[in-house]
Amino acid sequence: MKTHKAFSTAHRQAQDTMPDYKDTLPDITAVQATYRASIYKRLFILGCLAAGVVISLGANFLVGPAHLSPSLFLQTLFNSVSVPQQTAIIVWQIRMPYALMAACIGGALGLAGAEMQTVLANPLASPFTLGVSAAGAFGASLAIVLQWHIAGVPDNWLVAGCAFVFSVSSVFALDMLTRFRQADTSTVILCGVALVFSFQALVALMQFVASEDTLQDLVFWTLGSLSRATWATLALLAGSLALIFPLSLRSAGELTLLRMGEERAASLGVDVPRLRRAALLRISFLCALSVAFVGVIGFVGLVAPHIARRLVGEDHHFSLPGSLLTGALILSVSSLVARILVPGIVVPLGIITSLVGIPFFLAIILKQRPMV
Amino acid sequence: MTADKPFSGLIAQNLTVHYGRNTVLDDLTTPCFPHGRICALLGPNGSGKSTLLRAMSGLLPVKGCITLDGLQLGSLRLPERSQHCLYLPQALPAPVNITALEAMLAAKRIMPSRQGQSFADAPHEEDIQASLDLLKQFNIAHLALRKLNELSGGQRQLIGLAQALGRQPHALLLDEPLSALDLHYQYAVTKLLTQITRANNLVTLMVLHDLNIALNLCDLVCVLHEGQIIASGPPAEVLTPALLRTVYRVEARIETTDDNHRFIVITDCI
Repeated sequence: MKTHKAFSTAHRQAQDTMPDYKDTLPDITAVQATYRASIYKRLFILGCLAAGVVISLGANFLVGPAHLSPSLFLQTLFNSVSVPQQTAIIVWQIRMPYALMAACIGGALGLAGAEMQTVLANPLASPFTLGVSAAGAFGASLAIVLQWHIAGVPDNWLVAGCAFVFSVSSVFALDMLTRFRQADTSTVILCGVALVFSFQALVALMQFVASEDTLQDLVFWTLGSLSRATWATLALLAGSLALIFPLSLRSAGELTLLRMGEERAASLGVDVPRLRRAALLRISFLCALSVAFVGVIGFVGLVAPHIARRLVGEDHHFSLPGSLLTGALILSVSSLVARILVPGIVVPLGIITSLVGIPFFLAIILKQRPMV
Repeated sequence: MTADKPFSGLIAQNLTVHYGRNTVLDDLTTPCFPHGRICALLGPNGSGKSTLLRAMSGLLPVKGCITLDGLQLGSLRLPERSQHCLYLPQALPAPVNITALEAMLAAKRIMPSRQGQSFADAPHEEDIQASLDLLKQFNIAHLALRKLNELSGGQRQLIGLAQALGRQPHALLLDEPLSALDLHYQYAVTKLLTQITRANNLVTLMVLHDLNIALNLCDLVCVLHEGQIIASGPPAEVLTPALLRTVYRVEARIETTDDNHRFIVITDCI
């Protein structure tokens, strides 16, 4: 008994002299290892997304009314003179621009949406909430319905140019308005919503006055379609994305802090107005190009960032590439579905993105723990 | 610190701040907040405490002159300015999907002295070490790898405080740093801040509502009333029944316990 008592006292003494459990728990090397593991895990997820994009691109190249085997496709890719001319045209002129454009547009919209949700501190922000796409559609409809022509400029480039000008100017009008009134982020969103409805009304007005055959063209803008993708538009979009993405990544640290609160970021030395303006400039450029080339494709810009944040967290060094890849994956898969859903018909992409995206989106947000 | 400098410490002179047409601070001159002392900024709601701190940290456009050890802070850009004088806002860090450690690292990595370093070649090991040491001082090292959206308001407030201290500024302006903390942490954090202020010779100015903490744990207090500083100095001299009546509109006595702690007893409100 006595020994037992002595033991228990000694035990208690040992406990008393031991420092607080909470204090000793995190071993520096263990924390570092866990932190590093979390970085590798996120890089791995980004790798999986990239692999997903590549696989869906491959599927996009191969699937279609004209059956292509992988070997025939590769032969066309590397040695197009050795295959029938028709096959070469299908691969080079139709399938590749279509599939690559889908991925690029998805990436651009995903990235734009991610930056927008951060700088406007609103989970509902997307390139479409602010009326960027509605303005673009209005610009395009003006050019189509009023049949503008400029000598030496192909009509489809003129329409795209018009859409671009309207999209960019809508963002700058919004920026001017908010800077002049020193508006907060919720005011920016509300002004954006007002813009959406104004431009939608104007597009409807243009549809009302449009003739039968121009109406056909107009539907393209409001539903979104990749069928007019060409190597030239693809190169312009991919080039812009390649230029803008590194700039976004350079602001990733500041954007991460901005997520924690505008005033906190400012107090830690982030020049928030400058960061916001630069981000809006990048966003407007990406959105305007997307709208100009493929019309209004909703939803990707809204959903991709949410999915990416769930997958890789909110450090923007990971969530920005994550949103880009998620957007590319969603649109790439959607474009595949758009072509195989009804044989022989390409369903407008804007319809498919919502149908494919919404179940995925709901699954992710409903899995989220309720906020305290 | 040295004799040839005009001031050692933080001082704001002839400060005027407008919100629209509304003048919040009018030609306000603060006493000099010295190094190595913890100073409480007191005053009723709407007296301009937050405005004063935000103006001093450069988050508001101001007329006037703000000097830290003779250095004109107004001439610096915000990122450099925050290296010298850092403001901690009253709002808690948002509950986002970022771990506490990542939040601290993110705050360190945007310092202007780190510009040009990419995310990949930042000194991860040292930064992690320093951040964990700070979290340990706050006794919350076990939260290092927890996400902010899993933590309580008080825990996030502690992490926000650690985030600010991790930047190692020369002057700290804290806006109600104890607002979400329990009784234990209110005292523990104030004592820790005192210790860090002394050890690193910081200028620490914090907005407080708990007059008993100001009375017992702070070196100096400064009382703001209707946009003017009406008293400043050692807490025992400044916090008198007369001042409490004017500023807070309460009838109060100051009692001293046997072991020389002071406390304020509110008997009535006017």
